[in-house]
Amino acid sequence: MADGLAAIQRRMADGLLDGGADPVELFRGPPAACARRLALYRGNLTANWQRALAGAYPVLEALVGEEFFRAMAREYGRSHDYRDGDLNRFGAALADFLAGFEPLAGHPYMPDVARLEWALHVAHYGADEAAMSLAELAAIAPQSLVEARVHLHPNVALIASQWAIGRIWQAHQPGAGVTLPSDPRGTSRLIVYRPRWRAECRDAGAGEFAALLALASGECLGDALEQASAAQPDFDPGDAVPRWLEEGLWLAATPPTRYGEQR
Amino acid sequence: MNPTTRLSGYGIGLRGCHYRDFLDLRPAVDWIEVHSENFFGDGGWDLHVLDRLRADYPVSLHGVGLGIGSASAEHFDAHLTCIARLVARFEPALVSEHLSWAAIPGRHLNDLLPMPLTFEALDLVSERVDRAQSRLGRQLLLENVSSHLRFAADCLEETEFLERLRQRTGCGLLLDVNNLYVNQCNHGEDAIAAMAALQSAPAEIHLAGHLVTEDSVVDHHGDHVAEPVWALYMAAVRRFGEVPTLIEWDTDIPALEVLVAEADKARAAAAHAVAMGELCHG
Amino acid sequence: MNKRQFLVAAAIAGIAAAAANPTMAADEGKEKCFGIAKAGANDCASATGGHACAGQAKKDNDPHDWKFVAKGTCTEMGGSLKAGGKG
Repeated sequence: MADGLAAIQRRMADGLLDGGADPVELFRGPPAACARRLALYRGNLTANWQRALAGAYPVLEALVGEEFFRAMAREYGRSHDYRDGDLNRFGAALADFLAGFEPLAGHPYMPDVARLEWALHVAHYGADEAAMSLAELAAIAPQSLVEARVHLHPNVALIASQWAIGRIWQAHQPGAGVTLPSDPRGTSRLIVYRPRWRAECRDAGAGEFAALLALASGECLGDALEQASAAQPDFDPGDAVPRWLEEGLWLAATPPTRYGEQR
Repeated sequence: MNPTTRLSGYGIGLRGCHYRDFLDLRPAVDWIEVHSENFFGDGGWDLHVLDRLRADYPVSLHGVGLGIGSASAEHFDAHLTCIARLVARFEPALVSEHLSWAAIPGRHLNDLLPMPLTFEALDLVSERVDRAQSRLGRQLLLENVSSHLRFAADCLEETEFLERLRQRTGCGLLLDVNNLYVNQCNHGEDAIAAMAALQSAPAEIHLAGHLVTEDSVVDHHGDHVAEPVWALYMAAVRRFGEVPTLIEWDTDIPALEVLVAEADKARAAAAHAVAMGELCHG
Repeated sequence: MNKRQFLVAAAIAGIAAAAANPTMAADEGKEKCFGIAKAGANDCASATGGHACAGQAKKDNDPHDWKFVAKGTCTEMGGSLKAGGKG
């Protein structure tokens, strides 16, 4: 009995992904011509993967060059069982893939560059929820702020690296006036956020980074600021907190519920 | 201002590189079409721009990732839910998908792969179209695709398949005239005969550029509409009357005015075809 | 006043000052109102194949056959390093 629909699709997909024997017998026409045309579909796969990754990882593409990037996209696409009909999410696992990608072993900062670019990509498509305003925070009773929990905006990501990925990224932004470091080593603490429609990243001081990490892990504001002060003795909350609000880093702050209060 | 939920005339595909021009200039096109999947995010600039433009243009949602003919259905309902969310938000005039497959169990290939044109496939796609139309609460259009290969198992022509699908499900058709031409070149099919297999007018027509290569004609959407495709388009208008027509351009996208001029060319070509028809048939 | 209260009080003073003094943030100009135009990854065009994509696609099935060398801007940052930041 001839193959049914599922079997035909399976055999064609295997032929495209595995690159083994071409299942030319599935098609009409001379086998050699069918093989060449099947290769066009195989090329489509790579081209779609490459384009999807290039949209999310422009700095990575510039770093490794277009030829390497295309070949890398093909390896990633083949090794990664992607199941989503939306290619905008195709690159989600790239940083982890690169961490084990032998051809980039001599450039160990690449996975962290990828992490940064993916966070920017995710923020670009993230929800438009309104960030907490200065006035909303000012309306909370001061005595309850010490124990308040702060929810960071979903478009915020905090990225730490032992590589100078912030400067490497900046050096690839037109008009930023930043040059590539001659040595990629150097600590980065970066905040990714989306003030309005444009996802951005900036360097954070040790204090504010410690505070935001603490808030992200659910600690209260007083504890978070204390950790900031410990990480950076000259940390000034009077400067940092209004800046975070102006940048839209907070979604909401929840004062503690009183003891014994039923929720 | 809220454009009607019906559309007519000549539109162009809205692409990211033209967002600013669209916002600043509101070019004179009758409607716009977007690729649904590029608006699957929770928020951000793309959705914001479409919200703004929706106030001034009727919108068509054109899906590229559902893979409605995939025997594997594991991705189907989740993908449909994302489309339903967009339909609720934008109240598009048209919602379309391709007659193609894309996924096997555990894997999505993210391409418009040609369907084996069999009765088994017709049963499967009919069931999927029913499911999609009932989930979306509206008619879905299905588009003929370009292909490099035809299956040995095929027992229907593509437009014959689509006509049967329309009769079974009440779906609409999106006739891509460039794809008909590409398949005429790649498989020796007769594009005029393909159109003759359609018993009523499509709800939408697509026009785009293609690339002739050594191995195959490639539907790359990277050039002006070719002369033989304009001729086929005029034949389509003579057969079906004026149909909402879209210019698609996805590779090496030129300045917006080039796309607007191409849409105007389609408008003029259709008017000419209608006038010629009246002359011939009185 | 303990340390935590002191730090939160400083934050509140900063917020009061910022709220009383609407900043330059309101004055960023039109440019900031635009997002970055990302070309969405989903479209329905076929790759032009032929050369690079289709040709290479036939080969390179064996991971040991990898012949590509990263040679973009990364070459400006020196050669081979090791993870752990100790070069």
